[in-house]
Amino acid sequence: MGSARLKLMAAGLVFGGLFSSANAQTPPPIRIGVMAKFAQINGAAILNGATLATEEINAAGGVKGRKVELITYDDQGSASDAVLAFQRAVKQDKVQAIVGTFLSEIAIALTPWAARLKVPYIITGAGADQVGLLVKQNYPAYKYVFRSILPASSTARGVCESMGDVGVKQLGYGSAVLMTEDAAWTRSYDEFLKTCLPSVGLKIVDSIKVATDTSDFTPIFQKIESAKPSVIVTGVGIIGNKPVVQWHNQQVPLLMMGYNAQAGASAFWKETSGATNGVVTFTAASEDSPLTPKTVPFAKAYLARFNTTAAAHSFATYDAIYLLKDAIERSGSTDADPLTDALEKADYVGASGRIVFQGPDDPLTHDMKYGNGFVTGVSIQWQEGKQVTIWPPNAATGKVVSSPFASK
Amino acid sequence: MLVQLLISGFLISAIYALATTGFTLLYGVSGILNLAHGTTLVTAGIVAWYVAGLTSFGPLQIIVAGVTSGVVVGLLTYALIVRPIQRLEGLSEADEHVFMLVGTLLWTIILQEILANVFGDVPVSVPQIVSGVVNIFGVRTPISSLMVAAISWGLLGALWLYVGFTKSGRSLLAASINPRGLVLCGFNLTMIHQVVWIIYGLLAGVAGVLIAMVHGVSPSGGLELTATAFSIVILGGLGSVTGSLIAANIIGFIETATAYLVGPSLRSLPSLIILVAVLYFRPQGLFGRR
Repeated sequence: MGSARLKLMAAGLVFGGLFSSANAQTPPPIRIGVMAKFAQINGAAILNGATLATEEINAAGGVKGRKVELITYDDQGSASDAVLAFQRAVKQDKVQAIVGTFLSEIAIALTPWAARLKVPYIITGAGADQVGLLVKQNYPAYKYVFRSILPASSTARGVCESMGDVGVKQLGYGSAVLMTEDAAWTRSYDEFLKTCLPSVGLKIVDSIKVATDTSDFTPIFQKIESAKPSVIVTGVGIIGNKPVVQWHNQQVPLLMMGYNAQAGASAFWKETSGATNGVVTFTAASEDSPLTPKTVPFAKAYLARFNTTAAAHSFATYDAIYLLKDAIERSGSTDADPLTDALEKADYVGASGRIVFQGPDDPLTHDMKYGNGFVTGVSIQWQEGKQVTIWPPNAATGKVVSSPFASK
Repeated sequence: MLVQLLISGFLISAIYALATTGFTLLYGVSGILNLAHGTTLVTAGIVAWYVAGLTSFGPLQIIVAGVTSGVVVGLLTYALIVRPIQRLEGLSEADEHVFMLVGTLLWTIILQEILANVFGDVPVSVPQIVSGVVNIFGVRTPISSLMVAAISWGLLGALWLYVGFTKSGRSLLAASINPRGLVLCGFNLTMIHQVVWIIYGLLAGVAGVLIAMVHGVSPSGGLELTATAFSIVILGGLGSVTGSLIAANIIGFIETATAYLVGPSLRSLPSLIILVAVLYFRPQGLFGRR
């Protein structure tokens, strides 16, 4: 009996030892949640950017020997679904950080939850300035929230600067109609452009807010044309392709420039059956603009892997995963507070530029710093199925082409 | 401004009329309110877009692909949802109506999810039949939109001829007036219902492709299209094709006038007010019989 017990104990020790040595050999993965509505262009761009970064990191040996495990949460474009998924990610799936979110309305709803659940949350799609303001006003409680895509006011600044260089100086435009969708992110976008565009030489002759469920743009385009502007400056993302398709079908003789959140991806060309020809949009980076040594390799790898070009959200999410890797390596921890402290101190050259976050005293806390030496973005124009970078001058690979319908 | 308003109103009304006729015809003949109507339109538009992107097919083949998918979805709705409910024993007429509404609503959600997963939940547009614009009294009008209006009214004319001047069409009319009498005369009511589902699929298929050409469609936009069709048939009178055609024009012109004169974001508001007023003062609609 005694001998049998000894044998059992010995066997237990051997198995226990084997089990613990196996555990020591394969440390648990670092779990990162990625959240968006994946059936849409922007959501797919977020998921693809995260997937590519994760695959690269794991192929290179992981983060401090630990693999990265990506857990996906489809928020269905609904704030209530997103909040439930966020809670599940932290409480049940024990993720160390969450990236993603396309709609600003959802990002605003999730920001307090990141604070309550104390989990680093990097927004990679939603642009409303309100997020950065919330973090600033509630700092340090909301310190866990960061954003690796430009806030709407910085996007507006990029649009305005490109309108000055391309619209005014190259095309000779003098007036514009501002056409933006009625959504949270366009408040700060409109506000900035209404001051900035006149300062670069574009008089705003009308400003039109478009409901996101608008189906017929005919009256809107006719109202725009009756104001006789040189160009339409857009701010659209949620509306989708309807204004672009109808602009093309109706041959509106004005160029559409500005920001179109979906037109950065080549999937947009396919969805509009080519109607997007001539459209100009500001975006994070493009396939042919070497903003950093990582931009073009990422864009090419993305195209090869997913058969579509990387949108601004792809760049932002790809950079967000690498930002987390960088912060974990510097802090030596995956715990929320040391990770957040490391993210605050990040000075990381990503695919979209040099990423340094604004501090608690800056205007938009934990948003990326914008401008030369940091992140700037580019303007691209769709020319016969290809995205041509037309701004800034040091990244431009082609010239802007006037409205395809101007002479008709 | 007046010419712009008239042309835009005419173009949008033509699409509304075609998109609604199948819906109201179905109710008139078989008494079924198909809440999967919008998703049937969307399926046709998305399939046409997919075929257009896959191949070098011409506009005719693209339209045929879309219309075929409309007919397939129509017949699937009949075979998987409508027929099983009709065969349920011990169901009162009122219960059957409720079951049909719930069944077709669930079916639209299933279709919507399938479309979103296969093609993505993104708005897509079918290439125009003909590109270019013409100037009508100073209003720049896409030739494609004019062709869409011509196809819509041509198809509605063909439907009128079919129902009024063919034996098969007259049996549909008879089924809408007195189905029991039709059975007593020796007609097979099930076959008539199958024919009406095929015609419904054809009309919805064409309408879906044309809407995808002019405005674009997305899987999540199906319920919105059903709501528009619903508003029009309530105004025109449930089951009345003539009423639907007139209501489609009333709604189309009022929406356009609101968009031009008040603001584009308020274009749906007057039609909703009219809908409430009709339900309050004349629940059977302008030309309704039931």
